[in-house]
Amino acid sequence: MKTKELRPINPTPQGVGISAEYINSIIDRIEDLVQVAESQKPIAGEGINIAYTVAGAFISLK
Amino acid sequence: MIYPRLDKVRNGQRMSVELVNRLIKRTEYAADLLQKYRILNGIKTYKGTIISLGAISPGGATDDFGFGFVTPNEIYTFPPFTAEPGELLGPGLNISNATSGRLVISGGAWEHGVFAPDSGFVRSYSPTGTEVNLPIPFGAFFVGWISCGYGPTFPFTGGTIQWLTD
Repeated sequence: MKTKELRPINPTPQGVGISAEYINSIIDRIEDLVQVAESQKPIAGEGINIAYTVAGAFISLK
Repeated sequence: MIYPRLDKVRNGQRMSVELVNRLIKRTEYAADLLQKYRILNGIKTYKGTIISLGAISPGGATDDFGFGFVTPNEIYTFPPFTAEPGELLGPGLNISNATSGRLVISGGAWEHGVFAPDSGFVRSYSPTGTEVNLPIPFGAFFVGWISCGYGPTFPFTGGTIQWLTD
């Protein structure tokens, strides 16, 4: 992943101001996660079937 | 469902419900993909899933007992059956790929067997339909089968099997 782990913010009695920079780091992290997720798709090679189900990808031989 | 790429925010922008919902939906989109692309029939490790030829289900083929291989979230229906005396295995399914989740069984007189190198052979009989929790600790070494009928003792009245993944 290109981004680093996000650190949680700490609450204060006055509330917390969240900077645009921090929100953007969350957005970058999510987009990074999306890229990783999209790249995880198993691709069927020769002689292989892949059934994509809600539960996951089920691999079988043709 | 696909949700669009998130735009960057700027200084002074209000933290709106719409923005939060876009963050949530994009995150859920990624989570859905990770779930959909998760390889079910392999050996799970911390860094990924190891696939070997032995872990892949031969589609449409049967095992040495003539059993087909169970696939997740499919309902298998078995007609009534009475095994011959001494016959161990009636019609059934090889469940060696079902390493997680649970088997939901309806009908009567199911026999289920588990063979694991570390735990030996375990076999049990159920005179009525039941829900079998797969022995997940057996992990990658889990092999087993479900069959209906066991000699004349438990004539099978028909039923269904479904492997539900969690």
